[in-house]
Amino acid sequence: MTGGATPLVTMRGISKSFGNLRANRDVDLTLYRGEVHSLLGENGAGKSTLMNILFGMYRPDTGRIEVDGTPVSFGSPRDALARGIGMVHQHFMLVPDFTVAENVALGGERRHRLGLRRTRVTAEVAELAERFGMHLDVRTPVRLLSVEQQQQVEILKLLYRGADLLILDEPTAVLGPVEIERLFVTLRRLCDAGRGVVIITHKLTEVLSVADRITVLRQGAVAATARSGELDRAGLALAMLGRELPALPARRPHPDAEPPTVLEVEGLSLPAGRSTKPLHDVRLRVSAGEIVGITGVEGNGQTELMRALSGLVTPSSGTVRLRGRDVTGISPRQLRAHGVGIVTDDRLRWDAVTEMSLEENLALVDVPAGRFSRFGLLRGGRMRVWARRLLDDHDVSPPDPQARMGALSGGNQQKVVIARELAHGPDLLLASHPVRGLDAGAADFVFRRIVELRDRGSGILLNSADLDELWAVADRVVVLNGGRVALEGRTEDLTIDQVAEAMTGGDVPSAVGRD
Amino acid sequence: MSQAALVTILSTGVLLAVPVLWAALGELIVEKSGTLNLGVEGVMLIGAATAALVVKAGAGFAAAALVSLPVGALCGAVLAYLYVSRRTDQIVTGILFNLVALGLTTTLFARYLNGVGEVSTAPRYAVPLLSRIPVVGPSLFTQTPLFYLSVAAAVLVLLAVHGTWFGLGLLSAGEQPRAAETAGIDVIRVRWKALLAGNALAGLGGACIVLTQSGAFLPNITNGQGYIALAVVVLGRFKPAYIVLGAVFFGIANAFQFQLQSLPFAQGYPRQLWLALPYIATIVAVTLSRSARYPAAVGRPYVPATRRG
Amino acid sequence: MTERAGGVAVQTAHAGSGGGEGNRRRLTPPPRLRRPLAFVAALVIALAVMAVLFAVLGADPVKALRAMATGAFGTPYALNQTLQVASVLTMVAIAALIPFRAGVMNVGGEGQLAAGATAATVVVFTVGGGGGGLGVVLLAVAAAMIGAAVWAGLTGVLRAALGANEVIVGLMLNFLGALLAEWVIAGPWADTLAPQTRAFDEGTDLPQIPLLGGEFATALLVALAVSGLAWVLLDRSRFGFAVRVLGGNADAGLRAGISMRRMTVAVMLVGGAAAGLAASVQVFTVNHALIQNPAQGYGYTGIAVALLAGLRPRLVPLAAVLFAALTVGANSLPAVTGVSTSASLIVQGVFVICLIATGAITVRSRGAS
Repeated sequence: MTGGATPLVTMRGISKSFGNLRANRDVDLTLYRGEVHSLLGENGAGKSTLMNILFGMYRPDTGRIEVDGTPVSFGSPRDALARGIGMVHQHFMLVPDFTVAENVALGGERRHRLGLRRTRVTAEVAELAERFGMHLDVRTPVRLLSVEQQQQVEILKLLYRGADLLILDEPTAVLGPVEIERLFVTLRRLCDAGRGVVIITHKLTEVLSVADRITVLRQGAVAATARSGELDRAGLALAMLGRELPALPARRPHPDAEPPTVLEVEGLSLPAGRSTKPLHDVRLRVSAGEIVGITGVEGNGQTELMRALSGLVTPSSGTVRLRGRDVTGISPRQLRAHGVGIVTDDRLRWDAVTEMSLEENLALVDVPAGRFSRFGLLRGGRMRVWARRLLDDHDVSPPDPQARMGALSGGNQQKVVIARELAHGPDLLLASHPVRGLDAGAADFVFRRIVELRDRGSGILLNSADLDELWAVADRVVVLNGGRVALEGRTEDLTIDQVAEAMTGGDVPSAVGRD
Repeated sequence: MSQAALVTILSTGVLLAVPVLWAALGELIVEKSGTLNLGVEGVMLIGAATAALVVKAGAGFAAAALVSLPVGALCGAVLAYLYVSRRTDQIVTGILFNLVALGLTTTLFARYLNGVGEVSTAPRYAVPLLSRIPVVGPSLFTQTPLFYLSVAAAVLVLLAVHGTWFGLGLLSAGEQPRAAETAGIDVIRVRWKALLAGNALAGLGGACIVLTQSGAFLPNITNGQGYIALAVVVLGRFKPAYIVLGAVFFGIANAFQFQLQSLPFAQGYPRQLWLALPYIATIVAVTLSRSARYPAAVGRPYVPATRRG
Repeated sequence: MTERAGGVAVQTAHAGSGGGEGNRRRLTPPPRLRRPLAFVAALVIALAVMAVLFAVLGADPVKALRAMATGAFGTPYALNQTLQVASVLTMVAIAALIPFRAGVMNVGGEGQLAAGATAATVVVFTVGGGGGGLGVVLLAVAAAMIGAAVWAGLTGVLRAALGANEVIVGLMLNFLGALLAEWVIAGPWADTLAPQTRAFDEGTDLPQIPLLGGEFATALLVALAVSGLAWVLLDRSRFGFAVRVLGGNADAGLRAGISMRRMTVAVMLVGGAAAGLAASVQVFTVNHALIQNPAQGYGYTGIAVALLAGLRPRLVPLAAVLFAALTVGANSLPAVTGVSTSASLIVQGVFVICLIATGAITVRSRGAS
């Protein structure tokens, strides 16, 4: 390890705001050659923003950056790449129809002037892949590659341009344990070859196993810096979360009698789409008065499961029963008629029409179903009275039924969506990431509503990547891995380690504490 | 059908294909970069008027063709400013641009080009030897230089798009602009360049109508050929070779239609039915080629990540 | 997940967080003054372009402007003509506007006008023998609405059922509409002198409403009624609610249980019917015959009018009067300045393009966003 040498990159006093959100505040960071530096923090702690600044995607509001002791100011990724800084984004930046070689060579045109010289480029890329132990056919279009191979292509892209520093944003989120091991071997090899590596992550286990040096971010600021071994798991968690590992709140006691089943899913399967993951034989159950959490590493079928249950995609096989009635494949509108509330994971795509008013968004599903209209004409007065009440009840600001949805903050938009979906007192609520991107106040409000709904005897299926969130409210947790149920159990019977293991582990452990 | 009639149809068909071919090649470049340019119709119209003005001013056919290129590029700059820099809706902007082009060229026509004086078209050149092949010779190898050049241009476009670094950047901007940007490609710049080059070719295409077919400008002389070029690009599955074939197919359909009108059996049918053929063929073509995969990002204005922060 | 939109494959679940950020950016409300300022800026640019153009063509811009004003409003005849054109433009604009609000591009107004005018003419000659009373006229109006709706519906069906690009199909049907009219003109009812059908018999008119003594009154009232109906339909009906949901966010439409395919056809049919009404006004109060190229470019101008009105039906009549004044006023240009009437197209087009480019109006078609 060459930690004592001149820093490869020094960032000092970096701050960056997006509107009211302060993504980075006065961050200092020093990176060295030959080291894996781990940037640790919760979702939204400002890790990606900081690295996007280093990569030239964003300009910092304040602060300065030095590379090899020289001050730099990057206006674009091109500038950063020219100074040997490259980044692999969490969502891969690959052109699906280009071959591996084309993707790797893209943007590196200064090497051979005008002509592409395909054979020469192909040979170079193949040689480079070989050198770093990647087994790739460089003539294959990348859309045909596995996720692991695509990630290798991303790394090759940077190496081909002679990057000294490779930034990887959540590189393990898409990989299984075996692939993660292989990735770490590759990263080590890169460090041995004198490069510097940054991995952005929120997983403690990885940090402990691969990092030479660690910087922990919390709410946009540096919460801790350490060398490997200076902080243990608990210390890292404390720095990352600002408190001990989540305390288990008093959940509702077991009801004596078995509550009636609200939702029963059997053998649900869905083939993979062009950009969607498959589901294999998913089975789960939600009882009345119960919150069931769905979790897993992003891209393991949670989104697809929620969409299938919401009627947005039709499963290829399996049955979905609602209070014993088969509702497989029916539309979201029909599901609403059956007493299902739906909060999707992408509000702006599915749940809201930003150009329309709040009252119209509140009535989005009801009006096409025939409510609030007579002889085809809307009954605006009734709709407004109803909307005003919902807006007041849900503390939406502004409580003006005619305000444009798009003029509201994300938190207030989400309150409108929640208000709509709870307005009919649903038997079942399907909620995906209901508080993602919300400020603390709005998030708290949304959760209180969900808990109230449970207390009134409804069943709730809550898709969340945030284990704290689940531990705070969920009665049971279902972990998906590779589109299959990897673990299912009562929250109090499970440890976070078990859940983490099930999220990334290859083997499917037997269910714990099944009732 | 006699051999003479066949030669007439083929030879006229190729002649009629030339403007559409130039415009379609230009539009191919533009769409590959991620922009849908309905304004190609208006640019052709302006190119045609430009050529007529240059010829009227006393310069030769070659000069007229050459001048139409920068004029087309100028139109491209206007469109690029709107589509790419101002990020306006591409379909609406294209249609409105065509309205302006129609107004502009008709105004110019009324002021400078009215009174069809010297009707003449560019001469044809017979390629030595090849032009003596029966049927093929007189149809393919006895054409205006603008035809030979357009085929050469198709080859050049193919090479430029698939054999150069610029082409690789162009394709990435049209497929996955975010990926292109992170690789260091300036997506905005690439799309601007594509619109400049593509519309220069569309301008030349318009000039061909005047220089090789009509010999004079008339209001709205393009008559939808720009839109047909758009259809040819899709029908040609975004491949230059197929686009050449597609353009020639439309040209021959058009020539066939002219020829049919003069045949005895056609007399029983209304003339308009034959005139309608190219438009019906276009509808059939776009319906059949709906499965053709457009560049993934076509029609969507790009906001660079660096401009968001 | 890909979705075919406007004949264009559009990736809806865009890889990366880019799409989301873009959306969030669009949410920031513009400062109150931005739109009015942009509007003024667009007007200034359009006038400047016109001034430069006239100067280049050797005409005095001020004189030209005055000639246009007089030509549009100066005499009772001019006013009559302006209001008549405005009526037609209002209805054609509505024909473009309703589909547009659902995110469906109707650029086929030109063809729909031609098809409507042809259908009306055919009824007059076949049912009425070249003329007739109110009964024949009303039947002809109905035929015009049906004919234009069929023409528009063709585009809608090809789009909804086969995924054909509605823009290209619509544009091609414009040319075919003109040919259809030409074919009927060349038929047994051809006029001996001009390239048009014989004029209808005297009295084959829309019902006359005695208002300001002009023929335009009926047309104007019909046009106002159409824009009023369109407003009710879009803003106050369940159908309009679905239209607006789809136009705002097609995925939310799926979530709300609205059928994109059925709505695509429906909005085209409704739009086509409006274009058919416009065609009947043109046939019965202006031409009294089927003329060559019956749409006269109004189909395209109608799109510009719809955009100028910001796609709000209530503002369409106002926008239509402005563009009708430009169109009719331009008729005085050749005599006074030697500049072609077509110069008005430049002003209209540049004005609306500037409105879009400066952000005074926002449009977002499904195929290009």
